[in-house]
Amino acid sequence: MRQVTLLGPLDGVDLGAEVAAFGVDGPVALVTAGWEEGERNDADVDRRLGGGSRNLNLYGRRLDVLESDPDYADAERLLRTQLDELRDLYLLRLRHALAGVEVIRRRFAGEERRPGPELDGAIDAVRTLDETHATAIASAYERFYTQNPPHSRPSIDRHREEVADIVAGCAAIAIAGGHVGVLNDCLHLCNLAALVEERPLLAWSSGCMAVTERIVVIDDDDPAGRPDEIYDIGIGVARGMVALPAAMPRLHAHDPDRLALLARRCAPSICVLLDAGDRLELQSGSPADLGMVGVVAEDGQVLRGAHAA
Amino acid sequence: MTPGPARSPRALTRLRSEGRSPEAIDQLLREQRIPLVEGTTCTFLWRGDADWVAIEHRMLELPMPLPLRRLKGTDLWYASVELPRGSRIQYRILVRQGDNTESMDDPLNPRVVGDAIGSQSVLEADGYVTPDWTYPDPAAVSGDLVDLRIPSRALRREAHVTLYIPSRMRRDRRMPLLVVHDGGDFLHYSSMATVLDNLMHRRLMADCVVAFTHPGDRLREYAASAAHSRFLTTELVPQVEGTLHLRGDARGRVLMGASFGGVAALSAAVRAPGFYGALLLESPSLRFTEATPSGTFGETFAPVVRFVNSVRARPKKVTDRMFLTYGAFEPLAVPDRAMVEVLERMCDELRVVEALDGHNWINWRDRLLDGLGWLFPGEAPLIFPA
Repeated sequence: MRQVTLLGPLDGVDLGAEVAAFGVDGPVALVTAGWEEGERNDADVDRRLGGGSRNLNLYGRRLDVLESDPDYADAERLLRTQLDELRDLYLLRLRHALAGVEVIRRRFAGEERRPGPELDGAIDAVRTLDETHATAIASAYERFYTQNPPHSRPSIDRHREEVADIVAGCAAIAIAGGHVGVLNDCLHLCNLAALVEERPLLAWSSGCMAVTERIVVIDDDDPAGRPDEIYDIGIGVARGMVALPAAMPRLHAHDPDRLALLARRCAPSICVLLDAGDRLELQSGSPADLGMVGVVAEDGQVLRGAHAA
Repeated sequence: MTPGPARSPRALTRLRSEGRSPEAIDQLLREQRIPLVEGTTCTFLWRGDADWVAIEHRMLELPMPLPLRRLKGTDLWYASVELPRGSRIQYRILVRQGDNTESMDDPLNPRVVGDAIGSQSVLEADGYVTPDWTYPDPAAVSGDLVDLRIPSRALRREAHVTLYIPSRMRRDRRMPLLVVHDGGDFLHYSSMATVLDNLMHRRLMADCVVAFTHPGDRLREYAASAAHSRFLTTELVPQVEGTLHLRGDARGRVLMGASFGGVAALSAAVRAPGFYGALLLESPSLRFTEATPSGTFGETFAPVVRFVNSVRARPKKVTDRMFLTYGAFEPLAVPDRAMVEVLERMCDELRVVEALDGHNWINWRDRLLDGLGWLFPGEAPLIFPA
């Protein structure tokens, strides 16, 4: 059974101990693509992993693909434009749908009767929007990969083979944080999901987001004021959960009502808060013991420890 | 913003109770930041012999100019105003002696800003903080500034444009284009290149190319001129987009302008509906007439008034998003507020920020994160600890 451990941001975490806990022997395949141009600046994390890690250089490989295959680069630019447009429209509609939830809440504030079916209806509208958007993203990717099969692009094929060879010689895979969008693109391009099978996986920070089914982004300090959004489709190694790393600073403006809404939007998946020091093991790809993470309950309370478990 | 309470502020109260000697006044001026800022009460001071002293300003709701009173038995003049927390205003001191009235920077206040018209002293009320992204950041790599000369048939002159090319060029995206009116002033007086460097470095806005335009006959070209709109839409934008391989669609085109530049931006969008995806308007001079005669605002404003009146009569959608900001204390706050309802009908989304400031380049600089961060959403929310 595959072992997967998810961590919050690495504040004082003993990565060597985490790898040792897998009980495997051999180098660790390291993904630092979320660091973008700083991808190879990995000496510190290599040391913390116990040394000898093999950086898969996924960011550099992606740049090489875009450089060496102009047709693919053009097609991907078009895909990005389509995804940006989908996102713009989703966010536009989402703001209005969320305002609908807020209106119902205000309408019933101070009244004896709680807004049961009315609130459910407003939240269902948001959930429908989320689902529609996630489906639209998946369809856009599907069309893209149908029109541009990666195995028919020599440069992608070559990089995928090289990555597979490196991973074959490694005992575990570690995925670091950074830019979650860039990281996710790189994981998909090099088809890492297929390589993770049966190998222990350690991910932290936004690395945890990229290995889930859906990437949900929250940032109360966003100057653009974007609401909590379904951002992308992850590689789906971790199921039944939405990973929210560095959660507390990003959720500081969320009151229990907003947290409750977030929990209901993500249901049946669990909203898992992964702050510094938090740790979660998966069993068969799903969260096992929730005692060392925060969990957003449907009433908007953040549960920790025994309550979360 | 209102004239201060009848009671004297604390520092002057102390001066009165502890003696009004020249030495006590010297000590007050040496030890205190002038103007005095005591909670929400701000007190202008001037010292010297004069027949009359006043504050020259362009602030709504205050007498213009605001006269100072002489503290009895001294050569110290004062006037207090109440300012909300976080306010910032610019002013000069008027001093009359006999027939001669002189306008000057406040000699007791080292905080001075300049623009093309001249210098002004600055009063920063309690709670005002200069945004940290307006200062040069050694970690932020500067974009390149490249001067272009574009022969313009529309303007019948050679147009001068300064292009800002960001330091980071991503291969998987084509960048959008922002066109900024009064480009030289925004670069010089609003430190806009530094602001762009910092906002893009911190991913608070998306990377974009910026075309800073330099007006010729500004009051004519920016006054809702068809020729200037044609220059933007058929000459400048296609040339820059083509040369730099930018996005080249409406969502990748934003026009920005302050004051008269805001009129130029709006009129170009009205003349090319759907061509620009967004507008960033800072204190736009959207003067209009209703019951008043059309010549109310003078000859310079006549074409602006005609344009704004026509837009108000039949507002229709011309762009997707608009960001409007103006200073709560500036005279244009009144027409700009009145235009909100009209602008809402001219786009899908309108965001309005009323700043506690006036009609000046520092106010427009301080609002850039709000405007650019919204119109060019950055990737900061996607960046997590490594």
